[in-house]
Amino acid sequence: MAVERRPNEIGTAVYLELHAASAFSFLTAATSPEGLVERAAVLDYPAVALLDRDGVYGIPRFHRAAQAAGIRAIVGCELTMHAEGDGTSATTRPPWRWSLPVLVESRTGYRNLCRLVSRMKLRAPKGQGALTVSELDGHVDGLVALVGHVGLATERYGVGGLLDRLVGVFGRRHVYVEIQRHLHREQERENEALVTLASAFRVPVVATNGVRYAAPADRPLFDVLTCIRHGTDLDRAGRRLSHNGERYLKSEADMRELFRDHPAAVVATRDLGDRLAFTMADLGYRFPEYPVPDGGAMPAFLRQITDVGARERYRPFHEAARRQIARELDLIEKLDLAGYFLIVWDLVNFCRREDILVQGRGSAANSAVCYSLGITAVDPVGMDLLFERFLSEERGEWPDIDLDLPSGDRRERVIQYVYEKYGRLGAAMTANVITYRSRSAARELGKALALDPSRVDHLAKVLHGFEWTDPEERLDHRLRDAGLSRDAPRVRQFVELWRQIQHLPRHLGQHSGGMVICQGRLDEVVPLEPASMPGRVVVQWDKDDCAEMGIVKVDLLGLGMMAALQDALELINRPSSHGGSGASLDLAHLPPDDPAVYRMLQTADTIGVFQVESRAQMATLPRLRPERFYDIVVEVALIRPGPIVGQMVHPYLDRRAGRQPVSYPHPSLEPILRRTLGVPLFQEQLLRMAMTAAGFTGGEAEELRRAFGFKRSVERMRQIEVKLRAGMARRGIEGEAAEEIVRSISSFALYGFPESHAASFALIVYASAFLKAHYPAVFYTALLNNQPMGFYHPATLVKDAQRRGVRFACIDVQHSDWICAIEPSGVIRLGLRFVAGLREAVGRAMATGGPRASVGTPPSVRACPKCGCEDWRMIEASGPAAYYCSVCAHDWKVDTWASGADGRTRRFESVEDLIIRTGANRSELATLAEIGALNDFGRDRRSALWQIERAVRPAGPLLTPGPDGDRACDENTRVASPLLPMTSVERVIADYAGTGLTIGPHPMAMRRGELALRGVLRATDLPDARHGRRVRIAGAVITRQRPGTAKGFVFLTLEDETGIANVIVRPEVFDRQRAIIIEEPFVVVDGTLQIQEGVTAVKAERVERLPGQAPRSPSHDFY
Amino acid sequence: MVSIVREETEPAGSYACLAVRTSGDRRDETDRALVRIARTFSPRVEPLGAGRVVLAIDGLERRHGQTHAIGDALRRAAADRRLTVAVGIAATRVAAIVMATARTGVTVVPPGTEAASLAPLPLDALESLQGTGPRGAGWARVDTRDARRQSRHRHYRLAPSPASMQFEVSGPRQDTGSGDATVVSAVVTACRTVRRWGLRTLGELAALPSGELFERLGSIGTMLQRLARGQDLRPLVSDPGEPRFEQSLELEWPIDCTEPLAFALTRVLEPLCDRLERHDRGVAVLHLRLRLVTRARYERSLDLPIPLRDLRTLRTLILLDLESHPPPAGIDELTVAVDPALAPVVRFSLLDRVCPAPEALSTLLARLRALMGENRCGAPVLPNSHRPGAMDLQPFWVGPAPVVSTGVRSPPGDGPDGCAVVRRFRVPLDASVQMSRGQPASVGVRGLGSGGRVVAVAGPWRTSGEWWREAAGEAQARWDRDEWDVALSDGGIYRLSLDRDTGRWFVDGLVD
Repeated sequence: MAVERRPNEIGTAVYLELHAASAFSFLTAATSPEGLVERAAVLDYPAVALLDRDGVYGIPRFHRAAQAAGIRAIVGCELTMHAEGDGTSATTRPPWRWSLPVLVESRTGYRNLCRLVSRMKLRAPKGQGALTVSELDGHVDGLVALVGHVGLATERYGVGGLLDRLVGVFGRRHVYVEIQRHLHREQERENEALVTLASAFRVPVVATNGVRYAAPADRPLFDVLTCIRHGTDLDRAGRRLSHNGERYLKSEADMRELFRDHPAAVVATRDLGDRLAFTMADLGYRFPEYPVPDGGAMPAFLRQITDVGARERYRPFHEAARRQIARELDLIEKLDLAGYFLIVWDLVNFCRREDILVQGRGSAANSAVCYSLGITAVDPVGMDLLFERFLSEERGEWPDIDLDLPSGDRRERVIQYVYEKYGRLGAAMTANVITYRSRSAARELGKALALDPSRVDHLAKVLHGFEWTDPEERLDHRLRDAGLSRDAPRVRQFVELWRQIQHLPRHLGQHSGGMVICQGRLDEVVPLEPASMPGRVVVQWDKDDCAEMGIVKVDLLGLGMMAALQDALELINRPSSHGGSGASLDLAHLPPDDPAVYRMLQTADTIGVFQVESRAQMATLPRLRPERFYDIVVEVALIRPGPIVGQMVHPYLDRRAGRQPVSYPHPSLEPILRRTLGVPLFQEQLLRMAMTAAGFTGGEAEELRRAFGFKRSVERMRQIEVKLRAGMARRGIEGEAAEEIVRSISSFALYGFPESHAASFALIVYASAFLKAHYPAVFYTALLNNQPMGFYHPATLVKDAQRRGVRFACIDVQHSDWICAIEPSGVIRLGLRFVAGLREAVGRAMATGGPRASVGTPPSVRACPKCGCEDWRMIEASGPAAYYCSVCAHDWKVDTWASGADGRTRRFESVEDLIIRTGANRSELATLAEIGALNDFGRDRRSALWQIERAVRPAGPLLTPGPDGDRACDENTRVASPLLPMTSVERVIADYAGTGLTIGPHPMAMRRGELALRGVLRATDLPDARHGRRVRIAGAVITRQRPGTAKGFVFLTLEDETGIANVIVRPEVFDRQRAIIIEEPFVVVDGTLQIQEGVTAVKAERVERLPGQAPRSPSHDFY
Repeated sequence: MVSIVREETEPAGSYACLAVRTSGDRRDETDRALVRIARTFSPRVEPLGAGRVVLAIDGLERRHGQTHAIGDALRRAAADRRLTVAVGIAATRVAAIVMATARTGVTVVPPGTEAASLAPLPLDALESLQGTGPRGAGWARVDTRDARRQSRHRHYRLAPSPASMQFEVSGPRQDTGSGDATVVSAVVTACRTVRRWGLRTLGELAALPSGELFERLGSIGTMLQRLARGQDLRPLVSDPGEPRFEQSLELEWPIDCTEPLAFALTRVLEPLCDRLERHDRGVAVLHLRLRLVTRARYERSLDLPIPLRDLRTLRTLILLDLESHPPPAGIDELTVAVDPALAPVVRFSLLDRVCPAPEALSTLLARLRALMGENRCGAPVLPNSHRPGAMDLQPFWVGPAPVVSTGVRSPPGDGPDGCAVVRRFRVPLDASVQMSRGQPASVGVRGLGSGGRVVAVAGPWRTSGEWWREAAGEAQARWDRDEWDVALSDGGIYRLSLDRDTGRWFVDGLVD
């Protein structure tokens, strides 16, 4: 290994590999940057150059790995070029592209490279950018070009013409003729010509191997990637595959032997390597400076505004807060981070100005300065949070401030503000490198290996699987499931390649919220690319790479619940004349400790409530029984992998219920763990434990958390553990107490949750629960308008709302808006956005189709004779003089028929009018008719269907009405229909098919009689039943979960007309009935009832599909 | 099982439909059998495909008795051929087809009650009517069998088959494919709309007001409604049947040598070629079926590169084939059957050369095949592979020159582009090679009896590929080898290859 060598020392080596590509060349190379470095270290290379296609995507990882291995990482890139005039309309020549390898000699060269790549990428669609030689002119200082066989392209540039031009552009000293020897006859002929050409132009020759993979064994994967790139399989790829397997990283001795007839070309690699002194250690990145008024200093300005904010936040501004803020400001000034805080403060101010909800979260909530500046909403002093989790002198890193914003347009406005403020080339989103994972890898490999498509499809599905993987259920098991034998040769190759391809980069995506900004031009620090979303620019590195390279990131994260909360507040605060309550509600000033909120949380009535609506959270709430805000903080943090894996959930709940005494690993830890009853639940507690028990500083404790954290390394953990034990020993903590502390730290650090983050989330939990408790119609309207979000499908939200007494009105083109709205009577009118297949432009045209008028009750409809429902919105015409109640699915007749001509004002006079004014097509109209949105034009859904078929068909001259006959508006013709109205079941099926939800009766309600005969209990019956008795339940499966921490158990949530029921499926039952459990929308479950501390669940013994006609109800599945 | 809607006293139906549920594999065979059965009852037969055939049964009462007796007779005739059929008899083709498809046994629809009889049937029954409408204005079935045959014999045109002609009676022929697809798509859309309306039975569709239905679904809607009422959209289109080109000769004494067989073949082929000429057809595929003295059957098929009908050539081809594949015993009976095709094309365009005489070409190819063996005669093509010296054979055929661009270039050094030409040994010769400093130093070539010291060398040129076949037990398909070009002291220049897996040396060829 070469770990002893200092990175900048080349030593006595003769050959350096100056042309290697990594998998970041996307399908044109087969080894990760780390893999290349690992191989280079084995071969004792002092330096290696990485030249990926049109970018420096892999350079940070290459740099990091090379540093660790003691190898110098030379930076380069293969630029895609095309001849002048190629690809333009002025020429009929087919575009001809070639690649120009360039190596970076200096920081200027690196900047030029980034700008060239950015220019190429930003002006062309993805993957189609190219540069011309003329465009390089004047932008190649500090770059060295390698000219290979393309220098012989005489048909485009003439004999030696390209080399001549490149020498002119780069300068003779910065151009090398590159020869490679992959044992091809043709290549050898080219090499002879290139050497002659180099001699003619007095340009040195350099030997490289054009490396595409690290070792010979990687050649199959390289061929497979070639197939994927060309969309073919190995049997058909033919000459598109590599000629042989020579493009691996060869040893110096091999290369010297290979080029023994060109020793100067080998020596030239070392000479050139000596010149390429640039490293990624200093990119010259600077965070933007905040323009302080009157040209003052940033630290002083930060102190001023913090002081003002603190006086506003802390009333009174007590001494503890003063001390904490002063300590933080000193550290911020010392680390020169004032600009960063000011810029985040500026973003928050923009949000406030634009009336966009914003809340800082993550470790930033540990900072009293952030609290004072209004960036976060949690008082770290009051909650005794640990500042070192956020910022410490030892770490020497930029702090990480995440801002939660309402998802959708409002977040986009903030992002665009950043672009406008710092320029299109000064700010960009961070990338998200999409890698090959089990499912995508299986699909693409299967195609490349020409495996049977149906098997591959099945294999991809089983490989995807649930979150949890049984150790016994490894690949062999899954292959067997897919009907494949591992003994089959192609399958064996598949397995081998599948393992190799895992985690190789596939393409570049966009991170959900990370933005980087720069003082000056960001495109000189890292190349920029257009994102697929219009108006977005993305850097070539992901967030970790950006952090590694010292580029500061601000996360602007979209949170559906923030958008819902903001919408809800707008609805509540709207004047009563506009349908609002006229109240003045503010999230920051919600009544604290509202009993209704805690009552709702204690009974787990939390569907739709932020964070605590999942099955696991709902199963914990009745046991934890939150009574105050801190209990919500605990609840948020408790159902996380950290406490679950660390087996801290049950001890905490037992201690809380008094079934277990509160104890501490050591008396000195009591102040730290007292709030959580001696059980460590938060990352801050872990840090404090290390600080108290082992005498660590804040920075050392954070270092410990990282060492044991997600990217843990055995070596680093061992070193820190030794230090931790030594520190504890010095303080007299040894034996079982020390072991317990080490055990809890090591198991917990992996997935632990910061208390500050939990507290930030808890605020949103409280706010959403408050709205649900006190403004349910507003709350559900806001939730429905911000779908998709949360844990449950809109169908479940609607049913939950109806059980709480919220009333809904069906979608109606005469009254519905694009989004859901609350009518003056308090009823939620569903929006047109839920209509499947309805174009937004058409839906919005319908919503603005005409004047809205108050709608009266049809004269002949009073109330449903069965359930007494008087809400006419739930009553639908179902035939001549017949009505249907959507509450109880009851049909009845009346003496007189109330036609559509009841004096109500309509937006549209007829279907024809609707078509003319909105441009709705036949398919959209049919869906609208089937869900009852066109009932106003006929009597019922079917008669509306009858009408639209006539309206969408051109009449032709024979049937065109004359001057005295209006075909469109003949009322008798309009209403008359020979079709029978839909039955109740047909209505529900049409509702689910057309909108994904129904405001009518739950599908299970329609079968209740039959189910009761089979002994099926309702969800509401379960709490009253005896623990341990055998029960049978049935319902629509609304969630399926197989958490990674549940050892193969599967959790189903069934919904019926009375509520939801939890089902626990043991692994063996799941294996036996996997198809039914995964695929059936309605099931019947036989099992044993479990009631523990108010939590009800059925332990399934048998799961059956529920036969019969039923809608395809939606579910959220978490695999 | 026989189910009769009403026992009639006078002849009721004019049409009968035979329907049998067939699996995809035996569909063609069943269709042919049904047509044969129908022809034994009536000359007016319309094959519908998918295991159904319609025939006119007017006048059969005098022979078979009442209508259901005709049905029974049809079922018995089918049972004799081991087919279980459902029979529908009605005054309209549509009603007969729907009943035969929807019911089992014999179903007789009394005249005038077609709509009422069909009314309780589900809308799905309309699917059975696919192919019964007029082309271009109805619901036509795209017969894919022609396309399949066309692709198999792409070097000649096939005569239009009766199956594809059956729709032409009501209008000019349209292109297959897109026009039919549009009609079928319109019908499918209309059926989907009808189902959306909540209609479940043919009766419900039939009861809709026709005018309003036309306003909504246009002519497709009224067509569907007429079908649902059991009304015909067009009359039965009788299939005249494919002329059969088959001739047999039962011999008085067995033949066991070529000369008498030539005489016998002449007697068989003479009338056959006359008939082919009358129909302007040539032989595309010739089937020879022999019954031997051992009672065994012996069959041969000859796929001809160009359709021809010259008696002597055909006889020569058969004799040549039998010479290379002689029957194991004397011949008692011989039958020659042919798959006909349009007469041969001798020149495809003014810019192409005239094709060789079909007779001479066919005879030459037959002689070559007899000499070389099957699969060892054809046109060489360069495969898309890096494998050195790789070559494929494809069947020789005559036609317009194809425009083929495989993107495959000849390997350098193997062509007359100013470089030396390598003459490859199709079976490489074993060689013994002495290496020195990583290069061949001396070479001995056993097959050529030559060899010597290496005076000049170039290489190695390395190729490897198809690694994925290694594990598949296809070791011969995978390769990994080095090539060297060497000039020996004997004055020869050779291309050597080293199999890197086995370490064996070969001489691949020599350089001119």
